[in-house]
Amino acid sequence: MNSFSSIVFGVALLGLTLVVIGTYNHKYDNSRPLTAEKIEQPPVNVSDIMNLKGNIISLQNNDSGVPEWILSGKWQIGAKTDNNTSTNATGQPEIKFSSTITMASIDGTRTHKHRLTDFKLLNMLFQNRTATINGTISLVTSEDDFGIIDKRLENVPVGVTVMNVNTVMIDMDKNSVKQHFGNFPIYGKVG
Amino acid sequence: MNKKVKKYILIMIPLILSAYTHLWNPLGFPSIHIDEGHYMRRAMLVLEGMGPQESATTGYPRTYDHPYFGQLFLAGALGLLGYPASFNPHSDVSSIQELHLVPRILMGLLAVLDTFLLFKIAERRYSTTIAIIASILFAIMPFTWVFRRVSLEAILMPFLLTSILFALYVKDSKNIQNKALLNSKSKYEISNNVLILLSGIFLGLAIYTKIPAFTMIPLIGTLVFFYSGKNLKSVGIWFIPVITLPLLWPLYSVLVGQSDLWAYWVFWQTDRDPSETITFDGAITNFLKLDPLITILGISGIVYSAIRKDFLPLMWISPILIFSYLIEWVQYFHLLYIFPAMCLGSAILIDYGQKIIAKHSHPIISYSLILAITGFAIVITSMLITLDVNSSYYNVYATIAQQIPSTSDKVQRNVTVIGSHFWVWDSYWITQFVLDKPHYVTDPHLDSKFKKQVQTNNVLFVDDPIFLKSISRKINSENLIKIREIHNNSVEIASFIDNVTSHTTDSYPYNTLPIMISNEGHPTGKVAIRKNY
Repeated sequence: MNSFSSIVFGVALLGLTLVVIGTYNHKYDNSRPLTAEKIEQPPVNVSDIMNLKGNIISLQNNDSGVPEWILSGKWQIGAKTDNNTSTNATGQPEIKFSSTITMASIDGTRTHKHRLTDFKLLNMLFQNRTATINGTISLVTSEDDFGIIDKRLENVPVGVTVMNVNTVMIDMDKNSVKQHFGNFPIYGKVG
Repeated sequence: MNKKVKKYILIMIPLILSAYTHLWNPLGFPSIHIDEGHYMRRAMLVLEGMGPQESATTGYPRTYDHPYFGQLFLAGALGLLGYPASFNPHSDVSSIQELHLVPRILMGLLAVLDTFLLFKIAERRYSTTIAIIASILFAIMPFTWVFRRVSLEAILMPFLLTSILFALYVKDSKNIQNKALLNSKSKYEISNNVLILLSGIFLGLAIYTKIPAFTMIPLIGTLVFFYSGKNLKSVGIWFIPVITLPLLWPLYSVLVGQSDLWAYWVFWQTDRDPSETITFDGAITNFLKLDPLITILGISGIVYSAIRKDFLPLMWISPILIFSYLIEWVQYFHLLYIFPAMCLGSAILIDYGQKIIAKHSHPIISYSLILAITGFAIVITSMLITLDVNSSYYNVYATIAQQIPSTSDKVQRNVTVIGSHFWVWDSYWITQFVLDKPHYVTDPHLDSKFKKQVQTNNVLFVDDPIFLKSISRKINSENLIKIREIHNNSVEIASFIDNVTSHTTDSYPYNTLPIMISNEGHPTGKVAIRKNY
């Protein structure tokens, strides 16, 4: 290596040293949280799910696991009274849940409607980003489908689970609704 | 006139043209891109001794989106000038302009350096004629205005070109077509191994600036291989810094215990969903619209070169285009890498055309081709670079800066700035780090459901159409209700009409102005500053 090459190489090494020093020689901020839009989200509470609403977007399979019905409609969670902060005797906030569901057969030949109404709250569970509301509802069915299910089924146990304030799962007691919605919950989206 | 003087005069032509196109009116054109605010903010963090890694607690939440050399280089270059303190910064318009002027002049100087490096590359590989044509095209073709912005691609370009140049200077090659250069002996000769290492170091630094520069590995690796006499050991030596320098970035994340965050944001970068407008096709189309002449000439020249079995220009553009196609999330300025190759390809074609014309007519007529292209390009580029598209920008910026109060300890934050993503982040680096006016920001782009509470009683709003749309959405958020309430009780203190694309017409090149601000969320129209204190 000639002397000019040595000088150039020396300058290059000096430059690289500066780059390494620039990268590492400073006070590290180890306290930085794992801030990412999806990583760090606060746990949900009742105010996060109050006044949520959205669409039912679900498929119902038959006993062979083949899609048979398309479920669509609306759902909403809201305060029972105008005052969002009112509570019942057990200290739970007075909230209501309601939904309308239209079931259309995959081949498009049959359709009927349900309403989930008269929600009565039993309890609410909050676990990190998941909120579950347990209670009972009345399942009201349009006249077209009386042959399959009663016009009005009352006190049907239901669990409504809101996940990440983004999706919803409505799980009615299968025996109470005579397996009308198959073996899986009904799913929906917030917003 | 002796040969040396003639050569110096010849090389001065592209350099003077480049100085004109890259240093004229840097404040007026092009528009300040949102990314310029991000890169300057990170450079300010380095200058403040906080290192190249932005803190998610106090800064931009997308922490590990790029490696560090961009901010290290900017901070180093600006720090040598004593920036920002030596410019006695204030919150008035002229001071805000001055703070923007310095980095833009730096970028202009880098572009002049790029012009010189491209000249040397073409001279080394081909001939002085091709070198002059290629560097003139680089200096004046309309797309060259993209180099005027503070962008990672523009920062890494001189390092990339230097890497190519050093690879071409590896001696004893049978591949140098310009044989005269091989015979020249100089006491300033650099040995092969050092040249190879330097080439690797410069490419490593380019990749340490922005990862897609790795797509130049096939080109430069091939050059090192052939120019070193097909020596695989040389390629191995070259490859060491190419790989190790960018590894400083993940290594940093391991040292601070954030390798999970590093992986998260790297995958976020690579998996960004292309929108309807941000696609590979869209980027290519915008490149064509911005500079149709260099696109047509460049592609033709690259094809012509490949037919002549000279694959250098083709190897230059192919990997980055394939990578961009696979990544999908591509914008026109991401294609900056291919611009020098387009100029080189065009120069090879024009040189060939000139030789054909010279054969059949007077040699002077043969120069008409490059003169016509040069004349056209200078006119088009001048039409663009003489525009003032940023005057309202500086006024809005200065008003925001003036309305954020200073705090005695320079730590306590008394104000929250709420506005569109563009304004809250573009205005952040000067107000927060240069003028020492600490404040919080609320950005509906990053906090689309308004989950973050307003942390101060005093709120400064930057109202523009994008922000107003974001707070009028139907969202179940107590915070948004509160923001609307504060907004309704705030008072407008100034308003401006953002003139960034007001010069747009149906004819070229003014029809390309909307491309200049495409996909960056730059609000146009009325921008009002409101406050509740």
